[in-house]
Amino acid sequence: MSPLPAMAVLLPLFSALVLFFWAKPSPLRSGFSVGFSVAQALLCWWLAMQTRHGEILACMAGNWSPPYGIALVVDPLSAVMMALASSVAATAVLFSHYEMPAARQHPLRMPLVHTMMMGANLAFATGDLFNLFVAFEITLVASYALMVIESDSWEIRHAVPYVAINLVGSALFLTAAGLVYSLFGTLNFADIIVRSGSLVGDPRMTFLVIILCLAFSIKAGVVPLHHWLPNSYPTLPPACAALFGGLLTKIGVYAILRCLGTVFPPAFPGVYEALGWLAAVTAVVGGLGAVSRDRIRDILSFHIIGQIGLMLLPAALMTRGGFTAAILILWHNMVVKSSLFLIGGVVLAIHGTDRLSKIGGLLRASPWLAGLFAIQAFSLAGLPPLSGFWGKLLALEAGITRYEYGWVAAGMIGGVLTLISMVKIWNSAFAAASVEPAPTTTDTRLWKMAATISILCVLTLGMTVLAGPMVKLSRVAAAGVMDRTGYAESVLELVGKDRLGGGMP
Amino acid sequence: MSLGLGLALVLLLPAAGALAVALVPRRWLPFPGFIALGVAMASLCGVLAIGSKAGAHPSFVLDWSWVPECGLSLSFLVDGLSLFFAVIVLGMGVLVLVYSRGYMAGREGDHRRFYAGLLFFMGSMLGTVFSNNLLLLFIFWELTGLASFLLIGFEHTSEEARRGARMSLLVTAVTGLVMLLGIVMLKQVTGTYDLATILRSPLPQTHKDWLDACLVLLVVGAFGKSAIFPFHFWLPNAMTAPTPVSAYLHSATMVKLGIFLCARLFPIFGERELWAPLLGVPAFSTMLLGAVLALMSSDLKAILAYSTVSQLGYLIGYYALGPNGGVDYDYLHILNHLFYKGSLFMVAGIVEHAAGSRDIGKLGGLAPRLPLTAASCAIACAAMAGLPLTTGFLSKEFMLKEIFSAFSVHGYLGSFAVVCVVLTSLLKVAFSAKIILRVFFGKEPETVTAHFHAPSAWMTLPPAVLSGCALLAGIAPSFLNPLLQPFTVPGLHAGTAEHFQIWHGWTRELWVSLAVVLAGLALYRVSHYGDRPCPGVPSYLKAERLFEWLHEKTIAAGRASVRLFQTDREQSAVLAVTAFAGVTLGAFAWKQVFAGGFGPLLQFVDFTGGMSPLRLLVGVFIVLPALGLVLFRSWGGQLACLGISGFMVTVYFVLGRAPDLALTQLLVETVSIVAIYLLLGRCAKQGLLEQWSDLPSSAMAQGLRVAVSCSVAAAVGVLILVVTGMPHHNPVGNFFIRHTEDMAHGKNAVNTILVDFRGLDTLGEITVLLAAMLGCLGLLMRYRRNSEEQKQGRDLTPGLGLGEEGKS
Repeated sequence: MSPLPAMAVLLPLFSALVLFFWAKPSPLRSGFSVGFSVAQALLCWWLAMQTRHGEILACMAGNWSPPYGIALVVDPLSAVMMALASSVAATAVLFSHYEMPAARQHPLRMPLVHTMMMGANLAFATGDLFNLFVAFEITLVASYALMVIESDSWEIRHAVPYVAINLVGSALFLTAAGLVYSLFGTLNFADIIVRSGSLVGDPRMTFLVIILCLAFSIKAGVVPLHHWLPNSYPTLPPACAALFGGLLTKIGVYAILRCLGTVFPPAFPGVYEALGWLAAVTAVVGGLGAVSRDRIRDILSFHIIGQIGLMLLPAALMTRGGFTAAILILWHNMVVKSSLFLIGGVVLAIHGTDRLSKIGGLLRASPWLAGLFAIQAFSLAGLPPLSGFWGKLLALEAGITRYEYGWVAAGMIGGVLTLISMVKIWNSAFAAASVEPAPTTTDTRLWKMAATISILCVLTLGMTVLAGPMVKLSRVAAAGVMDRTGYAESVLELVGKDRLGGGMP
Repeated sequence: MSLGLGLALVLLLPAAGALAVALVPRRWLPFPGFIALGVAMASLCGVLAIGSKAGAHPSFVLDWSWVPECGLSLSFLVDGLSLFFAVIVLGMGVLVLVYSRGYMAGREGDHRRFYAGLLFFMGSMLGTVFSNNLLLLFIFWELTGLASFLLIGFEHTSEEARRGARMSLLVTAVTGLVMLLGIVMLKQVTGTYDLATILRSPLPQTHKDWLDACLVLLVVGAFGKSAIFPFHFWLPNAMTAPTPVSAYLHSATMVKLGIFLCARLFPIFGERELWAPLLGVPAFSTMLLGAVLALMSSDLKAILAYSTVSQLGYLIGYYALGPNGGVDYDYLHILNHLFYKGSLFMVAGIVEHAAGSRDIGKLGGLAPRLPLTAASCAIACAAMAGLPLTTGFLSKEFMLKEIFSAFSVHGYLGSFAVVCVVLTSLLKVAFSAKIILRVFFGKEPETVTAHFHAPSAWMTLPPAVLSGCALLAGIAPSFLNPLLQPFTVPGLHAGTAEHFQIWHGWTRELWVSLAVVLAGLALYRVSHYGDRPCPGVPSYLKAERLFEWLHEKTIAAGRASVRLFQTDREQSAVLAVTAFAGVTLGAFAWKQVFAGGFGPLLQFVDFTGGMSPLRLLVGVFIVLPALGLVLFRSWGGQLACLGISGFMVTVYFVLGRAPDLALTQLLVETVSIVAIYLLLGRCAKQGLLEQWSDLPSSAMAQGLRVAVSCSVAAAVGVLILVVTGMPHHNPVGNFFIRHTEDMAHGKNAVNTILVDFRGLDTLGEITVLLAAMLGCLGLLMRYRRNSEEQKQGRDLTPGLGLGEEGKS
């Protein structure tokens, strides 16, 4: 038993509370916020280092042994997800520190961001279905709040479908959690693994898998359940958009991987097939939507959907290789997507708008930013050898070896559409001369923002140069996710206070 | 120094140089050019040293691990083919860099970007040709495409340049993606990405159907890069690049990658039946098409671009019809094209620089002013036309000879090739004559006189060198044999090359050549009689229009898909999501319940649910207010209905003997109704509600909503009944009930579950409440801020007031 998973959950909760009571924005408060998110990121990277060979770190909440108490279980997938999520969050927090002077910052943003991080860490770490629901709720309610607190009366319109659709998703998830308890008599993942053995072939389990997939697909933004996403994200302040884009939908994908790979036995070919085709549609429709939009953040938001499709396509193959590809795309996307949103934020800060027809000349005005964008955009488009390429390669390989030509084609079309829209941004915002001359900002804040983004850029380049270890890690993570018995054993062997006295009570 | 280290240096130098150039301080103006030149020369020396050390017919592999999980290693194959291409890349690179010093004079501000781009390209080219791992080859291959994109878009403020850059990137990236698929499939067939291993062992006979697919996919990649029909259109549009870039990337090196790939694939796939028609038909068609379009064009660079397209077809066609044992003269053809086309592109740059125009119709009489350039151009044109004493003549003679002999082997394809080659040669004579005569002879237009300024020696020397090579090798071709001999590669080359001579006697080829030259001159005379202007390429032959149309249609399809999925309509969005969930679950429920999937499970289901009259009554009272939600139009009424429904649920819980649940529900219901009432009331006062809610009020829409809600409820209800019909025999809840006193030290199991057994959930739920409270607080604060904002004005505050332009 290791206390680290619990620490990763409690640390952001602590900082959220402190930031809530320390209401008045000041540089010191921002420093505290940045410091704690960095500390949390370091902790999560430490976790990732601990699990990099496939180890599972688990701890029991309240010292009740599973399946009675809630177990926090961190395997390589969870650990790296937590590490990347917290790195993204730390960058976003630092960025929002530079986004505007401390005195004008919204006092509630930081507590909410830290609350959201707590939810995210809990979602990645938990080994219990209802607790996963709670974690989802924490992130979602914090995100509802973040979505509205800084919006004006036009922007808040787009929060309506965001909240409404996610409530539908939550209702589905809650229903599913109740039914899982009814069917299995337990909510603990490891215990479900053990108990599901005798239920293979039972249509009730299929129903549960379907309803869970539906709920997670809503969180992930799978077409046609994606409506909440493309119009709401662009209304967020850039730092929050980066956090949302790098985090929220990815929790949905994580949940799908965990649910299909670990919790339930691999015995639902129909569900996988349907998921695969939905993912194919998602990849294409998301890409098409991105191509059709005219503002940077709109394009990026639609991209999220397309990328979700590209992650779920290989996952739906339900092979080791497919999961490896999905996980790699997932990790790469968290970093790249949020830095692109941040770059969009800098553009917004320079021009006051990010509508492509009104901006331009950034290649000359800030070549540094153009360089950052080029790296991240081409990485997103999967241009080799940048980080996006490796996932694409593994996905192609996984698809081809299973003869899923249709899915491979959909993935390729999605990739091309990504490239088209990235070139669209490049050509209009960076290469073309500005229609209206950009206000010459000598504001040092712009430099600081760009410097913040380069942290994520370094991560991308690191994932490029260290592609070898990265791919290996994702393979280990995929193996961990699909190793159901290993997962169950390492959780159920934990001994809490209820068993200490004399064996099983 | 070991070969491995040497090769690593050669490969790293351009990359390091690119970085250095990009980071040189702005005030060190002359440095970027010199750094680049130094790097290219050092790399060239390195490659030559490697070549000389490796000796004749080198073939060895250097291997460093990179991503072993993907089968990718930094593995490099040094053999004749890679050395030959490396020498071309670097040799041409040196000349182009020298030329650029003249071409880019006066634009010092852009030097860093320009030279960094060129060096980046050079590095990726070297990587591509030396790669031994197919995946590594693909990586470098794509990097050359990226470099090309950045360099074509060098004049980035010009719309045309951006369009050309986009076109080339998309075409090469899409075809590259197809090629990647081919590479991945080939790996599945052969089990490795390692080129040397694939070359050594014969292709496995399993996966026969995949082999041809691999070939097609790989060849699509080659065609995209080498601008073979139907991908030929991007090359002429890439001519918006600065001329040194066109000379280097788009005639001498990058576009030859497709040819390089064909040369690499030849030993692997050359004996397959598909090889000759797959490569030959598009290649020879491209050759003819390119030549026709070149004759029609009037822009000097467009003529050269189309003729490059034509020549690329020629080169790939040569591999297509190559005999199984191996080809012999591919290096000759490549060198020939390198000499004359490189020279011509540089001449075009000089002419544009000196006379201010590239349009053939607006040029003339430049020979006296630019004697050296005119001579270079004349020799290059002669080589292009295939006149004797140039490499062009040799190239054409050997091509004709091989094609005549291929005639018997390839049947229809052979005769198609002969016709195409003869016609193309004829056209080449015509447009070669056009270039030299229209640009350098005739009357000098006044615009030219007004604009003329002499080019520097930096510019005029490199084309002279290239033309000199073409002439020298044409006069004394026996030089070439020993020069090219060490580069032969077993499998690709038969090693039976004839000794090159100026005079082969009165052969059939010579007669054909003679006839072709005469006919070509006649064609030029007829088509460009007098001062008749060039017709230009008719729009129906411009495939780029098709590409742009596709691009537009993609965007339109994007808009259509957004409309189709109702993405932008907030209200129907919720409906769509619910409907999809409902349909999925409904379909499943239908299949399982009514089609018998649940089978024996159904006997456990108690569809009446232990309904007592009292429960039924409460149930009715839960449902009835819900109807009010549909019927009432004011939010106050709707909220009241919601509240009644919620309180009735409390009663239901009481009937189910769950008092603590009922109590919780009562509290939650009360608090939330009050909170919603307060918040909405506040908004209503400010008139915001009308702004936000645009519920369509038609009966149809409302009916649809009700129907969707009811069907979702029905599907979920049935499924819940089925799933809970036979619950698990030993739920963990039993443990909680049993041990709540002895272990959790509490009397009420619900309490101990909440605060002890599953305390973490409660902590989470409290956090949810905290977040929700913060959200409500934020909503309240938001309005206060809004009123202050009026006084503050809307200055640069992302997140606080930005986004107003989206309101339009």
